[in-house]
Amino acid sequence: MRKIIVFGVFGLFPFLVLAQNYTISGYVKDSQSGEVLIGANIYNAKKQNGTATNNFGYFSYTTAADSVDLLITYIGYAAMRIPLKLDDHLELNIELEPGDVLEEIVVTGEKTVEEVTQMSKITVPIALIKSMPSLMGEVDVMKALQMIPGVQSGTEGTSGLYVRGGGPDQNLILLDGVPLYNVSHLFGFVSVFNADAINHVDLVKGGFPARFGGRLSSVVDITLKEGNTEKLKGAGSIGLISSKLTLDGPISDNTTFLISGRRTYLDLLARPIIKSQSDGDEVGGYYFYDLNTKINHRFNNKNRVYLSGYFGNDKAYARANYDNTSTFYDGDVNYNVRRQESDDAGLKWGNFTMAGRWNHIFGPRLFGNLTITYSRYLFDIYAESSQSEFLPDTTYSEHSKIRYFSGINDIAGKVDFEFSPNPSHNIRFGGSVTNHRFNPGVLAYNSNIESDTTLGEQRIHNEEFFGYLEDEIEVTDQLNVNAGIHVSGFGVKGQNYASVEPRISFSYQIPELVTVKASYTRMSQYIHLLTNSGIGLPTDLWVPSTNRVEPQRSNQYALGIAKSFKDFEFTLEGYYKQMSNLIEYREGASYLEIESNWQDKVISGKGESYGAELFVQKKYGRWNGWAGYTLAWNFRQFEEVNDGRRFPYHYDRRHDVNLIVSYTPRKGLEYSLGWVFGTGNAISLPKSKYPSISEAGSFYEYQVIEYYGGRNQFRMNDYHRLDISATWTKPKRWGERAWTLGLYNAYNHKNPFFIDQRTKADYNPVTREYDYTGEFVQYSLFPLIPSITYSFKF
Amino acid sequence: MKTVFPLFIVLMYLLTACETVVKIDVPREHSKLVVNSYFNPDSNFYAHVFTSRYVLDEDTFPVIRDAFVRVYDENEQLVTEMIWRESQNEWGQFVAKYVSDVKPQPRKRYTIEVEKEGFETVYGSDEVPEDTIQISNLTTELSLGDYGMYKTTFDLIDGPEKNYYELAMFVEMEMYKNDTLIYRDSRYEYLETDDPLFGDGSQYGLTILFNDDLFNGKTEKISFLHPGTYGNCEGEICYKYPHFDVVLRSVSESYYKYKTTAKLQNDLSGDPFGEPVNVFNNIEQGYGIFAGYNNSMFRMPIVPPLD
Repeated sequence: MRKIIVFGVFGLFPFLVLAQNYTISGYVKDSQSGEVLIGANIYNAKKQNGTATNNFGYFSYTTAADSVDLLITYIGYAAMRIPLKLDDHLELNIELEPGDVLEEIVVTGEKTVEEVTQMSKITVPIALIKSMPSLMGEVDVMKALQMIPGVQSGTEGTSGLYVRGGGPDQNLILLDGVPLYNVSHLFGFVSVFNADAINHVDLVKGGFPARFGGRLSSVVDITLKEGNTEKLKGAGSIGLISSKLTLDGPISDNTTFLISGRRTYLDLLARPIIKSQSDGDEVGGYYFYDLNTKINHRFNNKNRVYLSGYFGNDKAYARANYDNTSTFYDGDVNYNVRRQESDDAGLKWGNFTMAGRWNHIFGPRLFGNLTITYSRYLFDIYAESSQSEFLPDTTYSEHSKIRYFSGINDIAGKVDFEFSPNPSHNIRFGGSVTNHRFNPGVLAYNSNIESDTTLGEQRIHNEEFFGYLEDEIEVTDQLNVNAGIHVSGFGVKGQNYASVEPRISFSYQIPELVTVKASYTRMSQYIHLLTNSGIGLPTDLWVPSTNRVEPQRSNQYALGIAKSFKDFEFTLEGYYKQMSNLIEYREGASYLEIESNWQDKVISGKGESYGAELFVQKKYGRWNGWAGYTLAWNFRQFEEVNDGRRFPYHYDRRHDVNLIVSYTPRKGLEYSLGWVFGTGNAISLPKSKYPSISEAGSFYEYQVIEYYGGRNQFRMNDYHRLDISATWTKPKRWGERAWTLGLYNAYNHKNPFFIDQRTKADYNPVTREYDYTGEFVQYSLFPLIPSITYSFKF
Repeated sequence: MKTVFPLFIVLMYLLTACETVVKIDVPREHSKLVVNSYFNPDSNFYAHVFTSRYVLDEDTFPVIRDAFVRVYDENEQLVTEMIWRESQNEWGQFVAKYVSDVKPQPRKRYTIEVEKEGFETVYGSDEVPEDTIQISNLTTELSLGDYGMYKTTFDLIDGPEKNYYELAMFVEMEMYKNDTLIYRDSRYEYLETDDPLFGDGSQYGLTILFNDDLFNGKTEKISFLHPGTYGNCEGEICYKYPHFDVVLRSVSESYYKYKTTAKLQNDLSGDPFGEPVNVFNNIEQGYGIFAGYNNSMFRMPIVPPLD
């Protein structure tokens, strides 16, 4: 069967066409900022076909005709029409004018959701992300993505994505092409992405093109801005928990830069209070910061280089220093003993990534990109203690340090090519090699009075590679196919894994009706996230596949229809996904058991999810936003859990409704509303209890056993929440300022965070004793939370 | 008043927004019969029968005295019908259970049926797994470097089929007054091991359960630590510890699953990061365990170390 699929895929690839064709290629940009427009549509009205710009804003369109009537469109921009006579290949750089948000622009000839072959892909306009109401005023890309059907949030307030039944580790999150592992600040409540620095966000939930791989459930492809080519621009905001500033502009005619930073200041505000309460001996706090940088240099029309970096850290710390002197009496002699103590403890985690990319245009039909990346994720808990006693004739000192750390370092190289041999084919191919270095949890102890100890598994080095070939084929005017193959491999400690992954998507336009789409993808994932918190704590361990822990695999089938009507796009998709070799902690195991190898603590099993998603989106105009509904089932099965029977995943959410609306009644005022509803999470709660009292010979035992009726058989209350915000914008002499007022959880619904079983004591005045009764209580995390943010740009 | 009232409502609303704990209702389960019964060829059948309670009720469980408790063999022939008996054990403790005068036979499958008006009739099936256990080279010695602990070692000869074991150790204590034996008792030794064949990490307790996943059909050296003692005198009272008894049980899969999951549930209670553990249950329509085992005991004298 596999041979047939592989043969079929390759059989669909074209022979190179040697007939006379003309190729139009170039970049599409914003006329005011010079930022490239990713996904802009180039449509030839005469032939009724076209192409779109890639992640670098580049396009290449090949046609056999000697004249074209190009319509260049991009959401939020005025369309441009360019009729051309062709007698040779043509380089064409296009600048589009940003449209007026209050004008209901109906763009005809745009490549609509019906005309795109790929399914299960959603582009979220960055302007809409910025306008969405948010927790404490922190605009968050990941939380915006959680509002898309098929994507579920985990624990309230956290930024993990659970896509079509997958886990938060199964998302390939790319920032300028560099994979990030932990994208959380503030224990998951804020993601690392600073919306001011972002140009474009794509989410792919299924029907993955062959160029993507390495994760089972989704691709979040985030592209940073390149920097304004015309003049220095800036934007920033001051919020309740953090402030940020972004600057971008030209360095020279061919070079632009972008730098964007953000920092919280809770620690700075708390420091004087803590110091005053401890006579200056103690300090403590928490902060995070992140910094995005990017430089873009154009050597000539054929060569561009981009250097980008991300640096982000979270740190919680507590330090104390004591210095005192005591006087002792020894007979007639008084002597002083000075004692110094210092304690320093904390935890920190963060990402550091660097990427260098080189675009080269080999010819009008062949575009290439080379990417070299380095990324590092590190989590570190430490506690250091020192004590010294200065006696008249000697000094005693003790020093000890304990440290637990885990992390991943990646060095990767990747090449990608896009080739447009003729109007019916757009071929992409390339490959990548990554060297991973895992530190899956190491405890190090050293002291001046005891021998040094290191526990836990040491570094694991391994290599991962993939190659891909895909072709976007226009088979007929109605039928488009994206067929490809992704081949990957992973080697660790003498164990090699390989995977051949066919990918295929079809779209068939039924004239005047709808477009029917279908896809099949097979995915492999060679790294796992070992977690038992479920809330995305930095203590979660990233671990590689080994000879005992096999790579995760998935097969996903999807079928859907798409239809655009005026400014609205409708999609309805059904999917079925099987996952294997998922891991979780063995019952009773914990990451706190440092001394044992993590491989001894895990079990592997499988997952199954299926469902349907309805999505209605309006991307532009006075009113814009989307509505989504997901009906889904999501199960897990482990031989050692729940007697080997299938059980609902913790985030099995039968119904999930999302509504995002942004309304701009006039210039300078914008209202936004977000409403979410989700079936309660599945958890394990005891139903009954019974005694195990028994005398088995002399092996006597007694225990009260709680009966759960299976894993995750109880449903927490449904989750729903309304967020609203209003933004007043006013032009100023120096630029523009905005005030945003927001209400998170506006009607203060007490959403479930966790459920606890507790005993309540009520004093009985008659018996003068306490009556004890058991009860289940639900704890909520976020009540109604108002926020205010001041932002500006110039 | 017109302006104060809405303001009051808004104020109250914002204040109540801080209340983040609410009581929730969890459906009440009907009470079911609970049967706890272990059986082995050396003892007569017996069973404890209770009723389960809603999880939020107090931890006292009604004892059922008037149930019909029957045991059938694999041909569905009645083997015994147990009767209710209340008695006191040698320590004066009240013991109440259903008893029989029939002993089970090795490698035979039995089904217990408990019938009580007002409850669903419950069933459970299991068998005694193995006739005897063979071991060799049983030794005990003080383990240097283990803070005065004894290390006991033996070779376990495992059969070809999948086997489950439970290990315990008893030390016999004799109390003398002026060289006259006045009391004798046997008590558990506390066991400790980090041998991987007992499972991941360190295992400890009064008994240790393990299976033959790592040595199926082979002879495997088993070793574990325990405190041990070799006697002392306090005035005219002297204590002597003449021997250890290593008790090795061959237990059924149900026995193994029930006791390991029950221990795990107990160990994990209160762990905020741990998933609750479902305890194995082989009583259909009810709760509890009906499981067979076979005891083998190996005795060895305690030799005090030379000074």
